[in-house]
Order: sequence, then C-alpha cells, then structure tokens
Amino acid sequence: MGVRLATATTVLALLLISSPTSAAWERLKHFVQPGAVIEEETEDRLVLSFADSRIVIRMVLTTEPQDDSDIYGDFEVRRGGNPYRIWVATHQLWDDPERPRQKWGRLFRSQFLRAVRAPRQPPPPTMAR
Amino acid sequence: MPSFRPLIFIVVLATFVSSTRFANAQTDLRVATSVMRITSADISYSAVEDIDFFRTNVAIDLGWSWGTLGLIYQNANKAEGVEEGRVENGLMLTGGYDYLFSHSLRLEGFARVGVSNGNDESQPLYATDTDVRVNLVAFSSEGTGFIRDAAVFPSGYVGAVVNKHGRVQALAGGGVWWHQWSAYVTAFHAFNGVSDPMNAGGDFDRRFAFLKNRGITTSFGYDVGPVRFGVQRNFGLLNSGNDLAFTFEWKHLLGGGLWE
Repeated sequence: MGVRLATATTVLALLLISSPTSAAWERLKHFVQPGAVIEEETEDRLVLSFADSRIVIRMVLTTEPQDDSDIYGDFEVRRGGNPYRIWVATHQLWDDPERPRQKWGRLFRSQFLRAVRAPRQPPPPTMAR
Repeated sequence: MPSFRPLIFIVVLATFVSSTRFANAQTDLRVATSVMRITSADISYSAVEDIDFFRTNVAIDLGWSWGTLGLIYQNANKAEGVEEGRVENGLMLTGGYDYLFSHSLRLEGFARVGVSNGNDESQPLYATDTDVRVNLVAFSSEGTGFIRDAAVFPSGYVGAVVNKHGRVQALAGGGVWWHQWSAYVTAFHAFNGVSDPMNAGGDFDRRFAFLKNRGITTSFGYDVGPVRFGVQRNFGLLNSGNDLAFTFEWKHLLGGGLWE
C-alpha cells in the first residue's frame, strides 16, 4: 500500500514535470492583465503593450538577459532545493523616468509585481560550469 | 568488512574542494536541530515491537557554491524502564554536493561519516551512522499550474543509500513545493541485509545496522525567510521504526548568490 502510494506519487510528479520552454510564458501570461496586448511571442521573447487615452506602454520580456530586455527570466537556487524561475527587472526599465512602476505595472497583476526582482547590483553573476 | 570511512572522507573533501571552482559562489551557514522519537518497530514480517527511543541532533554546515561540509552531533537514548536506560553520543562529519544537469534535472549527494561515539558495541543505539546517499531529482523549475495564484513546483526522485556495512537501499519519491509549503512522500527498500534480526546468525553484531528494511517516509515543511520548520513521519513496513521527527533549520547567507 505504502510502496504503491510512493510509486504513484513519483510517477505523477515526473509527469507533471514536463516543462517546455514555452511554459515560462504560459505561467507569466497568468499574471498579465486582460487589457494588455501580446505584440510578439517567441520561445524566448514576449512583447507586451498597453494603451489607453492617457498612456502607451511597451515592454520586452525575455527568458534570458538581452540588450533590449525590460524584464528577463532567471533561475534561483536554494541549496538543497530545486531551482525555480524568477523574473528580474533591468535598469533600462527600473531607471526609466518615462516608465515608472505605476505605469508599467498596469500590464500585470499585483502578484507578479510583488514577485519581480529589482535590478541586480552588480550585474548578475554567471557561473562557469 | 573493509572500512568505508577513508574513502567517504576523500569523496566528501574532493567534492567540496572541486566546488570552489565557481567564480561567484554562494556561501552560507546552516544550523539545524531535530528531535525524533520511535515508538514502535515492525520486525521480521510479523511482530510489532513497542520501543521508546529518542534521537536528538544538532547539525551545522558551511555551504560553498554547490558543496557543503559540516558536523552533526547526535544524542541517542532509550528511556528508563523500557529497557535499561542508556545514552550514546556521537559526532559525524558530513559533506554534500549538488550537480545541476539542466533546469529540470539535478544530482544530489550526501555523506555522513561517524568520527566518534560512545557505542556499546554489544547493543549500540547508533548515535552515529556512516553512509552515502545519492538522489537523481527531476523537477519543474517553471511550476505546473497554480493554486491561489501561487505556482506549484512538483519534483520526483530516485536514489540509493549505501551504509558502511554494505547495505544498499533504493529510494523513490515525489512531492510538491507551493508558496512556502512543501510535502513529500518517499519509499525506501533495502536489497540486502538481515531479514530477521532475532535470528541474525553471523550478522548478530551488526544486525540493527544491517537490516533488510522497507518503509515509507512522509515529510512536510514550511519556509519563512531563513527559517524552515519540518515534520517527518516514518512508517515502517519491514524491520523499520515508526517514528516522528520535528526539525528546525536556520540558514544565514554569508555572501554571493546562486543563479543559473
């Protein structure tokens, strides 16, 4: 009984783990406000925009840091645990007086705004393997 | 029986030293304590024996990049009146290492080496253990679905534990991490060892460290900042104890950070 339970749990967990790269955008789109428009979506890039009578905002999200990234994806590791996806803002977005947080924040739900990380100082470390 | 201690020590040290090759490494200090009580044990397929056995330990380790090196002090005792009241204290050297193959697969290794204890060799309480554990862990780093707007991160793992007596246990399990909560189920099964500890034959002296055992372990955890609370319950199916353990862990980041 117990062994069957553990086996079933293992199999179920392994089935749930199948995460294609596009899963990153599927998860992120869960937090995009209904009024935002997806201008472009590729495996490693998502461009969102929002426009009303007062403001126009355009944001570039990428799975890895790129020159034009406003927010990029990374993985955080806690020792002894599994790496998990995080989202990090760039200085290009964070320090842009034309796009304060209360403006670009209209594209996302509050849960994402709380989770997105401030730009890293110094730039993100790369771990040679 | 050859001693595994020097070999395990060398492996632990080598993996720790090799982990220092990373340019930007996280360094942290972890302090953990746990209290475990075994109230009964399933012995020899049929008998369930009432016992009252406590293990309390304090672990401290230093993490550097993907490796850890540390110590565990463990106190094991049986209460007065159940059998003769006895106490044993032991010290173990520990080492661990994580290797990340991808964003969905990693290998983790952990070794304990008993470096001192006050065991009564005729009937030890095993305040120390010497063993090596390896787990291959598959996980979702993106999350799989949401519960109340928080992503659910499932994982599954298979592994093995080999102790200094040569007993090989297989492990298989899975679980989920959600928000700050985690829940895991693990099954273990020994391929060799003493099937009937009451009739251990030539293995009498090491019968309880060489048990052919089987069981299920469930664990639950809650993380808040640098602190983690855990509860673990073991259900013995064969030659294994029914125990309950509470753990408290505190981790302090000394510098750096781990990103992939």
